[in-house]
Parts: sequence; C-alpha cells; structure tokens
Amino acid sequence: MRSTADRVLRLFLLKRFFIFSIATLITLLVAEGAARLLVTLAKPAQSHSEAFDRKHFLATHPQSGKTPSVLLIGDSQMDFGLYADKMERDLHEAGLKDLQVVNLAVVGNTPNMSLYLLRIAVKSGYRPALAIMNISPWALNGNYIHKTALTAEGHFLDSYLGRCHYGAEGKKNLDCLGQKNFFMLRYRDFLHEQLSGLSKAVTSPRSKMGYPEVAHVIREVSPRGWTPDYEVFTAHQFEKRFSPTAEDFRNPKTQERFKGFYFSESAVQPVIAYCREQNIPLKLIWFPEHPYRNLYYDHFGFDPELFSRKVAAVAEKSRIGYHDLSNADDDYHHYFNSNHHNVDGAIATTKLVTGIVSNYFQSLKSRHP
Amino acid sequence: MNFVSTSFIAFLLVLFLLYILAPEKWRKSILLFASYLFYATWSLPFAGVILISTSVDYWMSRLIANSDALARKQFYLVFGIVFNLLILIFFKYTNFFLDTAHGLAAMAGTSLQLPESLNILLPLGISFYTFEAISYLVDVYRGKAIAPNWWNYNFYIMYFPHLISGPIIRFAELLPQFENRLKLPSRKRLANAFELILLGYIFKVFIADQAALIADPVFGEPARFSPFQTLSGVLAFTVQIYFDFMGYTHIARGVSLLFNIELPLNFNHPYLASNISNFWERWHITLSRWVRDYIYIPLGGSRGRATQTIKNLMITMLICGAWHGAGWPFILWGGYHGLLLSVYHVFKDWRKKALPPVFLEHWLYGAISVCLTFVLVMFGWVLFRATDMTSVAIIVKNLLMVPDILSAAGSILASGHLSELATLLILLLACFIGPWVVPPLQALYRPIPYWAKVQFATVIFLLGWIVTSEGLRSFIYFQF
Repeated sequence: MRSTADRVLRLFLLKRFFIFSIATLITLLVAEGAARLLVTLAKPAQSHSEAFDRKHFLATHPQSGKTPSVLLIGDSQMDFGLYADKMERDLHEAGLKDLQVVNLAVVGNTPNMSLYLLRIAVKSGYRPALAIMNISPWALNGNYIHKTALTAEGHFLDSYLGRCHYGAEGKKNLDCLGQKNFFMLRYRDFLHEQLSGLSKAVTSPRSKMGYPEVAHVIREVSPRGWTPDYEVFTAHQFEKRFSPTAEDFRNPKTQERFKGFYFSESAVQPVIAYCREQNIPLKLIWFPEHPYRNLYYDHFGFDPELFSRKVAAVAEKSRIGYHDLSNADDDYHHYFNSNHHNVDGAIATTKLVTGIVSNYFQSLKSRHP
Repeated sequence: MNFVSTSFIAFLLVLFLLYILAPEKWRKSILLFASYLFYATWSLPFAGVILISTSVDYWMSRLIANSDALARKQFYLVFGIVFNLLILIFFKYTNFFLDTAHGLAAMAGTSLQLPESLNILLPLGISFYTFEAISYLVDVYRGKAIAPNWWNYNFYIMYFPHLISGPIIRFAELLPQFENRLKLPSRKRLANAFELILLGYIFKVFIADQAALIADPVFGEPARFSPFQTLSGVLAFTVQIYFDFMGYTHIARGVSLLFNIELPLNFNHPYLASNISNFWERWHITLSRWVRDYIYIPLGGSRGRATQTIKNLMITMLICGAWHGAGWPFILWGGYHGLLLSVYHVFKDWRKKALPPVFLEHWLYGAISVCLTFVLVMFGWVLFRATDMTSVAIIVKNLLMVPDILSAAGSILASGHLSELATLLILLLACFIGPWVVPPLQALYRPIPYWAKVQFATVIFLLGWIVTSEGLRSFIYFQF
C-alpha cells in the first residue's frame, strides 16, 4: 500500500516538475524576447558606456589614414578639457598643416582603458606622431588601482567591446557563452538601469518632467572628439555641490580615490611600454586643477608636489615628456567642479597644450629640417 | 551558496529531482551528502570541522546516556559543552579578546606581547550549530531522545536548510520527521513550500536589499547625514534586518518542506509586539526559546526575588548579544535588551497593582504600547548595526534631535518634494502591515493554476536577478 502511495505521489511530483520546467522555459524565452525588443528600441551602449562607444567609433574610423595625428588619451580631464578641433586649427595656423588631432579620452577611463583605445586607433590606421595622456593622481594611487580594476575596468572588460575576456575556467566560459547568446545576460546591467528608471519615473515624476533635483547634463561630441560637459546648476545647487567648504571631502568617490595614497607607476607602465614598442612619442600631462584643490589634497594628506616629482622621475626614466600644468590655471571661472574644466577652461587649456605640442614639433623640425 | 543565487536554485532543482527519483532508503543519504556539498562550496576544511565536532558530540551523548553515575553524566555533559564552546570561542571571539586586551593594555599605558589579530575565518553557521549541539547534549542529560546512530545525529546538525542561520531546532523536534525513511512531500506541502520560497525571495531581494540601500550609507558614515536622514536610515535597517532574516527563514522552511521536513516558525510579526517581552516571543523565536530553556531557566528564571530575576535577565541577554557577534556593540545591544526586559519585569508588576483593567484593555493603551516597543527596538538596532561606538553616539544624537527631524519633515512637506517622506512612510508601513496585506495577496495567488504560478515566480525571480545585477547581498545572519 505504502509503496503504491509513494509511486502515485512520485508521479504527481514528476508531473509537477515537468510542468515547472516547461513553464519556466517558456517564461525565460518570452523574457529573452522582451529583452531583445527593449535593447533594439532603447539602443544601449555597446561597450560599458555610451561615452566609450563614441570614442571607440572615432578610434576605428580615421578620417585620413595618411595624415600623422596627435592622439589624446586619458580620462575626463582630457575628455572635457581639451578642444581637439581648436588645437588642430591652431597647429595648422602655426604651420603644422599636416597634423590631425583626435581626442580619444573618455570619462572614467583608467590608463589600461586608454591603452585599449590607443591600440585600436593604431590598428585602424591612425599614424600617431605624438600621444598625449593626462595623469590623474587617483590613477597612480596604488591603494586604489586594484579597486578600479574591479569596478570601471571590470565593466569595461565585461562589455561587448572588451568581448569575453575570461580565462579558461569552465564556469567563466559558461558565462561567456551565455553573454554571447542571451541578451538577458549580456544586457543585465542595462535592464537594471531601465527598471530603476521606470521606478524613478513613477516615484519622482517631477524630475522626469524637467525639474531636476541635481545637475542637468547635456552631452555632445565634436568631430575631433572633444566632449564638453555642460552642467546646468541653479546657484544653490552649485554652492551645495562645489563650494570650497569641503563638499568634496565628503564625496565617497573622492575619499576612496585618495584614501591611503601611495604612488604606484604600474598603471601607466603598459602605456609607456606600448608607445615605446610602436615608436610613438608620448607625453604625460597633469591637467590644470581648480585653485580649491589644495583644500581637499590637504584634507587627504596628499602632497601634490611630491606626486609631481615622482611622475617626473618616471617620465625621465622612460625618456618621455611630462608637463605639470596642475597649477597653471587658477581662474575658478574655468571649472565646473574641483578638477574639471568648463568650456572656457577647455579653451584656455587647449591653448597651453597647443603651445607644448607646437614647440615639440617645431623642435623636431629644427633638429631634422 | 546564497539562498537567492542562481547556483542555489540550480542545486535545489537537481537535488529535488534526485530526491523524487531516489528510493526511500536513499533519500536521507542523498540529503546528507547534498548538505555537505552545500557547505563545502563555501569551505571544505570547515565541513571537516563540523564532521569532527558532530562526531565528538555524538560520542559524548552516548557516554552521557550510558553512564549510571550522575557525576559521570555531569562530567561528560560539561566536557561536551566546553568542547563546543571552545571551538566557537576560538573561531568567533579570539580576535575580539585580542583587540580588547590590547585596548585595555593601551589604557593602562603598557603593551602586550600578543599579535594584534589572527587570520581566522568564521565557519558559516557556527553559532547556530553550536547551540543546537549544546541543546542536544543537555537534552540527553535531561533524559530526552538520544540519536539512534551517528548518521541521524549528523543529519540533524548538517541538514542544509537550517545549517547556516537556523531556525535553531531541537533534536527531539526534528528526529521524528527523519528517523524512519523520508517520504515525499504531499501536494499541500509542495504548494506551501513553493509559496514560502517565493515570499522569502521577495522579502529578501525586493524589500530587505532595497532598504539596505538607504541604511548602508547612514551607518557607513553617520556624520554625513542630517537627523531626518539618520531616522530614515535607522528605520531602513529596522526593515532590512526583519525582512532579511524572515526572508531567509521562509526560504529555509520552504526548501525543507520540499524534503518533507517541517522547520519551526521563527517570526510572528515582531514589530506588532505590545511590550519587549512580547517582542522576544515573536522575534527569532527559536533563539528566544533556546536562551530561555538553556540559560535563563537554569539560572533560576523568574522564580526568585525581583533583583535575582533582573540579574538572570541581564546575564541571559548579554550572552544573547555576544552570541550575535564578537564586538562591544553586540554585547551592548544584548545589555540594552536585558535592561528593557528588566524594566518591563518591574513595570509589569507595578502595572497590575496601579492601573485599572479598563485602562489596560483600552485600544489606545495597546497602540501606544506597540509604538513605544517599536521605537525601543529600533533604537536597539543602532547598537546592532553600527560599526563602532563613535557611530552609535552620532546616530543616537541625531535620533534624539526630534525638533530638527520635525522641522525637516515640515520643510519637505512645504517644498512638495515628498519622496523622502514617502520613503519613510513606506518603511514604516512595511514593519506593520504584514498581517493585513499578505493574507489577501495569498487569497489572490492561491487559486491561480500551477503553471501560471510557476510563470509568475519565474518573472519575480528574473526581476530580482536583474535588480541584483551589481551583486547579491549576503543574508545578515550568515555572519553569525
């Protein structure tokens, strides 16, 4: 009797298990279809960010493969702060007519990510006569580099452009297989963003209707890759976020970037090594920073002069150029926050860097007339 | 394996299928093997630690049961308890003791020739299975059921749904369910299991983890936040810990029902408790029962004078606090609850004499009691969650700035940006409305055909999977 009851129950449970499997499979297929539809309609970034997509496009589409170029790589300071089109015009006016200038810097880039774009550009046919990379202190903070590798670079490497970078471990290969074939997996972060956006549209409809609680950002990109950042603030918002009264100290991101700072050149070495291997002259630049920057550098016990000396030593050792412009622009009208230029600042800095580039090529000409 | 991870779901599905297909006599062995596998995915060496400790415990229990002389029984009992406590103390409290010793030495102006800390990992679930092992030894000493063989005792400790974070079940409660061959779950149990797992998943991923997004920054860096934001953060943690632990317990109970074993209830709407004693009858019920039966009552319970009862309550709750974590905030949290229970004990006697029954039975008195208990419990969570005593001081100071909180609420109302107030209100509602919301939802859900329930659950899981794209949060009680 007992065994018959058990058999009946077992059949019932197996039937349930079968229905469970089929129903789940159907739901997953429908969800995959919905994800594909959403991705098609909303066009998410192909890489980890739209900003990176734009620069990737620029890197893979040289306008003229024959023209030597000045390639600008780095992070947001370079991305927002160097007006490549203007620099190209100014260089032409200075007699360097056969140069094109392209800004391949991307907000949030680590040196490894910059190197990735530089490689792509060279592979795609650019002929770099000079590469200029901006150096941000956080990128050389040994205490922060590995954390960045886990976050920004992790997203970058996991992205479509980075392809499946995983090693040969079984589970990771399975992950790769999933990411390549299922939009649900590949666009999980994007779907999360969409879901969050949906909930915000319901809970904070006012911000969706043009009453932003924080800065409103307009994004555009110039033909040569300059991406000025127009952040529109009310006076109160600006004061709240960027006053010199220590708002930046409290920013967890800033805190993390300067916590336990120790100088590590390992992040920048791959870029130097690649440029040496490809015979591309490289210059490092520390971009101008807001006059208030010393407030938070003091707060975090970061010594900018010592840092600059250490970068200079690395540059000297590697026989590359280094220009410390960090104190070169003390006009606070040129910044929209502690270390990023607005359009005025970008134009002023472009003039400075153009001078450096122009001198470099003029000296080359004079050495090899 | 986290209970809400895809790997656990895959593990569970394969195990359940094997359980259905396997002959009755194999089911217990399959579950035991799966339990070791489940634990070994986290740490193989620590699975070995459990294997050794359960073997010693089983051996001690046989010695206790087979000894005729009381002194011998007592010796084996004490040996068994000390053995379990030493393992717990070594893994959980060594660094705490080292830290405290160094702190005291520094205060005395000397230094100790001891390492600052040792590189010791805490075995998952050690606090839970140590308490279960002790309860088993004490019960055997008291003449209750003894494990018929090592296999059964090992199954009692290792059974994976309750291994990591309880419920803390007694051997005598569990044994009748698995002593003989394990049966397949009935249709009703299967339906209950499915519902509990789904509810647990929703509690964890959609409520607890979302509340954590508000609570974490406040407890991480309390100095950055205003009194109003601090209140939101503390309230968010009050919600987080409840739904996190209840979510875990629901999933554990649901998973266990799939294997036809019923685990006890651990929560009964604790935030609706009308006094602090009532709170402990509703919160982490199996732990409350354990400390009552194995610490409080053996100490004398409430049999003696009021001062004796207060002493017993304080000792019990201090141990309960220390059980949760090796740190002064946890011990203080235990002491705080001991104090509340002591005050309530005195108040209860006074109330009987001083207040008329009409007053005590009035709904307003009940409502005020519930609110007061809730506020006291919420204050307690500050001690539980804060990382150090400086944070505790900042948070408590902020919470006591009632006029600032009220004026901030007023400004928010006046400005029309209601999202912060709405968040606070939603968090508050989440603590109280369970009994009025869950049953109607269940009434809507239960008549749905099985296949549609599966599809609904899959959609919920997918949404949860997308929401947790930045990584799964571990259950809070996993750290104990």
